[in-house]
Amino acid sequence: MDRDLVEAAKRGDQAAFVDLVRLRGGRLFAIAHRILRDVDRAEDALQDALVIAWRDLPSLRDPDRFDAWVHRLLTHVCLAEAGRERKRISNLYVLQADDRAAPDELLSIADRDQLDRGFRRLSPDERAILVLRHFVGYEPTEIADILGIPAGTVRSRLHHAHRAMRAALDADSRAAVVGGIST
Amino acid sequence: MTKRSDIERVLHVWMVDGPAVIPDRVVDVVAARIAINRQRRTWPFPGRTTVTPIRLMAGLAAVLVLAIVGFNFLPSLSSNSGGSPPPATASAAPATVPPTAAPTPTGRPGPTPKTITSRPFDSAPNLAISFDLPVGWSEQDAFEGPRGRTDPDGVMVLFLQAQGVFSDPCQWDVAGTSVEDQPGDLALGADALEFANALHANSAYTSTGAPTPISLGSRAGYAVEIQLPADLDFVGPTCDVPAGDQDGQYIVFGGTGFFPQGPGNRWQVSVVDVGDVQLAVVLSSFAETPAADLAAARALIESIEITP
Repeated sequence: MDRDLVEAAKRGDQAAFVDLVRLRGGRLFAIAHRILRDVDRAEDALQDALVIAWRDLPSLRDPDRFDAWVHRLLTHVCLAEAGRERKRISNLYVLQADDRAAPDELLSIADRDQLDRGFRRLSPDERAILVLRHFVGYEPTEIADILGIPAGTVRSRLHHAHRAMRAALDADSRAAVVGGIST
Repeated sequence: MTKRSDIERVLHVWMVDGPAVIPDRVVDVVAARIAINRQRRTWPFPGRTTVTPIRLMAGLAAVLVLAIVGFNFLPSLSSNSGGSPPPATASAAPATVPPTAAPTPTGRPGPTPKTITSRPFDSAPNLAISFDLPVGWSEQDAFEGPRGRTDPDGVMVLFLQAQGVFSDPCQWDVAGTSVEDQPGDLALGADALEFANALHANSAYTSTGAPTPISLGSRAGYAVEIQLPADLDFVGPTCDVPAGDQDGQYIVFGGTGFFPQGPGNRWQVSVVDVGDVQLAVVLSSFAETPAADLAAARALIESIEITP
């Protein structure tokens, strides 16, 4: 059914595209929010990305590639947004009942706060790579294709991001030197 | 200490929390915007991808320019005789934007060198490094030449803290501790010469010579050049893969962890002591890196000023 919607939207069917947005939008909004860590900016980025997707949809040759294709669009819009206002103070997202994860002994509230802080210190590229890897589930080669960078660079930045997040969780001051480069 | 094998699971759990439902207002706004935004139609010829109206007009404009230029060169039919040069025609290419005095926030390369001030270390926020970024170079997380940073001909300059040397860069963190605590590792103090000597002495890679005294940012230090192996899988599964991990990394020295940019990577490492910080300036290149790019990298390093 999704393929039919994509094909109809490619032909200019606006209702089909809106149906597609409703079906896929939750996942896309989640990706944008994880990268930007701000509800308002995530909404803005998602709106822009979806309008671009509508505009460029006729160029998508394989409807089955819609998800990966729109993820690429969304990621680049989010990166542009992240680069514009890196110092902007983000609004807090208050966990709603249906958003709250099942209790997990792995992470306390303090852990989550530390992870949030560590994440905000990462570069936009590193944040996007972490989200594409650990939330969406892409392999490094797929992430490289989305971002248009070498797979080796993806692996390097992923590894640096892991180290930085681990340092944030462990409050290891020595490893928290994120001003240096791991490329 | 969180082991490396745990961090991926931690991140996965952490990222589950958050909004996962698209707000209705977003759907409404998108529906309203697409109603007034046209789709880009694909060109109806086989094998062609989307041609945007702007590209089509640019192509037509280029054809028109060529036609005008060609007409003016036709003998005896125009009012000009004797092969006088045709009137200047508008170029289809955009005019070059004159350089601005202020550096651009996104760090895009400009037509003239621009001075950049970097404070690369959160642990030493007062340490500032100013330098001239060469024309054609870009600024991201490091400073790379026009051909990028990776093999076979890339070049890059970056600033690191010299913190410990791993005796085996390919097996440096099998215990998942991220520090120099395995047999043979060297945990160093604030001494540029000790760090340079440690790099020179490590047999895991090739050092082209003993550390040489240098001046960097008006400070005395030492430089050593190392040649990384050409036959190692730097980012694949063969290098330092603790249980539960998926990929390994080749890391020469700790702290921030700088990875090779490809097989046969050559690093010229200049180290100076700046208070309690051992500043390492790394020039990363390859055998095929053009001489001009290497010269630009050296000019960048020579322009460095360090504060305090």
